[in-house]
Amino acid sequence: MPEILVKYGGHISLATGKLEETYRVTGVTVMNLIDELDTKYPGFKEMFVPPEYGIMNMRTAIFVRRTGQPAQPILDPGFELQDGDCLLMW
Amino acid sequence: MARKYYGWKGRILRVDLSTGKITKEELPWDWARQYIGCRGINSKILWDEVRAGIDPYGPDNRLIFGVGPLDGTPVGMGRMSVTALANTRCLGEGGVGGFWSPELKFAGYDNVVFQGTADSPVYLNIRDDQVELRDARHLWGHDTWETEKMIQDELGDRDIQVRCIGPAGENLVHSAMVVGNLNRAGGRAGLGDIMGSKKLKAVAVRGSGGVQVADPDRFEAAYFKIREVLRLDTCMDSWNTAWATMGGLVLMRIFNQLGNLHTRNALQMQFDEAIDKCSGEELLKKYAKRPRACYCCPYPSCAKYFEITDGPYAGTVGENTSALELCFTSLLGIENLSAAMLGRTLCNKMGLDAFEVGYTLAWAMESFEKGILTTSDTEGRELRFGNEEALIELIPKIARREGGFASFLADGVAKAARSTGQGSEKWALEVKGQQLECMPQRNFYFAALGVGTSEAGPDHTRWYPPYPPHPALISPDMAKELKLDFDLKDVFIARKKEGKGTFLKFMTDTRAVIESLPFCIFLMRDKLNLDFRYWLELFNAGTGLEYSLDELIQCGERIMNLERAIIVREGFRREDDTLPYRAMHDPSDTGHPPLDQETWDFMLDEYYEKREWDIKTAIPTRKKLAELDLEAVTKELETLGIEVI
Repeated sequence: MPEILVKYGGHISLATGKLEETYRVTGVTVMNLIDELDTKYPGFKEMFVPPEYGIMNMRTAIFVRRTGQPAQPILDPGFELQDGDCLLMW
Repeated sequence: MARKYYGWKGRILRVDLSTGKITKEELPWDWARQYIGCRGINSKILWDEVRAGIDPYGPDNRLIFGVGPLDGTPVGMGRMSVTALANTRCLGEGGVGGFWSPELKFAGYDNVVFQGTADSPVYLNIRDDQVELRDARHLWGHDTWETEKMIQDELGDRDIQVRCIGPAGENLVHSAMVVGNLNRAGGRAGLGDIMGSKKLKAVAVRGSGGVQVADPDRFEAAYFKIREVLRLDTCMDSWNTAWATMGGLVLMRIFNQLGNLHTRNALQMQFDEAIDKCSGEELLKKYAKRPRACYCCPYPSCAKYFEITDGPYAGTVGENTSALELCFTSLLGIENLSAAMLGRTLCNKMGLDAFEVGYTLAWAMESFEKGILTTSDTEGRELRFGNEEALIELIPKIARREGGFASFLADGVAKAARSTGQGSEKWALEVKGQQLECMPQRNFYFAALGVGTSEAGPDHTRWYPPYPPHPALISPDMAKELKLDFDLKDVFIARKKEGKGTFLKFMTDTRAVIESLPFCIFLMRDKLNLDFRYWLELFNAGTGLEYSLDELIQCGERIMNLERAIIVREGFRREDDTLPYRAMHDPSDTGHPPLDQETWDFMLDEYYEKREWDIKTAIPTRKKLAELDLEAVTKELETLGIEVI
């Protein structure tokens, strides 16, 4: 159950009402995180996985920053999160 | 019998400021066919009429205002292009939004060409066929906001559209801009100074006509297809809604997270300590009052009118367009967004490029911290990172060249670093004599290549946006149909050198088309970015031409080659297509190594090969120029003793 820092960029911050939060993910993958955030912020998943496409990040983006490494985009819904990851979702 | 034009008005207005003579000329049909309009035709005029080696501030330079065939329709978004030979001897070209360009079309013109130099300040007043030069001595010295209002009052028309210069242009400041609608500015390579050198204070225009498109029903259908793509609830692009609600300043937190945010002159690439309070989100929450869109723009809030109501800068008003506050926050280590907002407003009023001011001051602050500049150089100022008082104090002084130090900064970062020496060139963040404009290089190879090879100095609008849409949006079959010869997955990978040159050629050719139609480059979202059938349909329906996709994109390639020839004629070669020393030698604090010479050469080679340019010199080849009907360019380059292989 990785504890991560999630930052919300642009209009996503308007949808969540906050710029960031520390979050302990029950699952492991970025899709687990999206599912969990959808229960907290209804409609969240639709933004990140448009139902008509079923593909993550068609109209959004997620980047992860890990200590000592350059930030990377996440395109794979199975991407495994690690303790201490910092994610930016917009 | 004069040709019937659809889209274009078919007329160029020429103003000789030396003699005061004003003439109306027919727009050559071949120019319209081959260069489309706006940026493209401006560049054609510059190539034809400006000889190599002239003084950019002399009467032989041209200052050209251009609009395109789709201006005046909802597609044009109020975009226009201003072009001249810049003081850097590069192509000077700046795209501007607002409301000026539709008025020029309604008045009946596609381009306005200024030549010569006036004896005393003048401004041009265009009212349909009535065109006159008016005395502007009483306007000289006034800022752009005052000038616009004074002209509107004088002409008794609050809706007349004005493009003007402020004190920076009058004083030939390196980064002076042409400003209009109070806060719309263009001319990254310093075209306000060219306008000032001609003693041209402003161009006011009011038209009562319209724009006739060839097939209105087809044009309307093509337009609504574009509007459908840009719908905020369905648009498949990660930047669309974010940009539409927050404008360019949404980049602050995103670039920060990516390690792309120039901080303290790019000594660092993150501004974690103050990023949230300097962000677009903060501006929206605390300062934004209402949206301010350009002509017919479907984005609700790319630009926002703001007011500062408390603190030391209370009473400041202005408009937030693009990410300029970045230059006055992270870049200078200033943790106060309201100071940056005031800085932006001062730059707009003075007619200064905020990017240039920011990067020049950032260089000066780093030089001061390293002891290269001292208080004796800065006239007593403790010019350390974070000094917001110095920023606010220096902007008007730079514009007016008040004091030795401000005048020194007014010549721009490249000249300041060259004259200072002592290694300070290594932290002057400039290319081809012009400062950067926030795009990172060390971990964003496509942006690096775009910045380094641009004929107009660092200018992201020539290849924007710096990322493709999601690969799933363009199927392999569609990519084949569109003849996209790059791998969409590859170009997504920020630090992979392969494929970037090929992608840049496509992007620069197609953006040359977009800026010539014109359309706002910041709305190149979703499929509009890569699927040029949308633009082909609009162009054909608007102009009555029936171009193929290849023919339309070839117009962009022709414009790019002609613009390359303009800077080749001025002496620029492969070695000038480079990056600031810092990007190529110093690792960033976010773990990105420098972009080494071998990688850079690989990307340049690929780009030049794809363009069919001589990879040793970056000069277009004879074969390529012939293919683009540019044999006359070959001939002139050879006349100048430039080898074209």
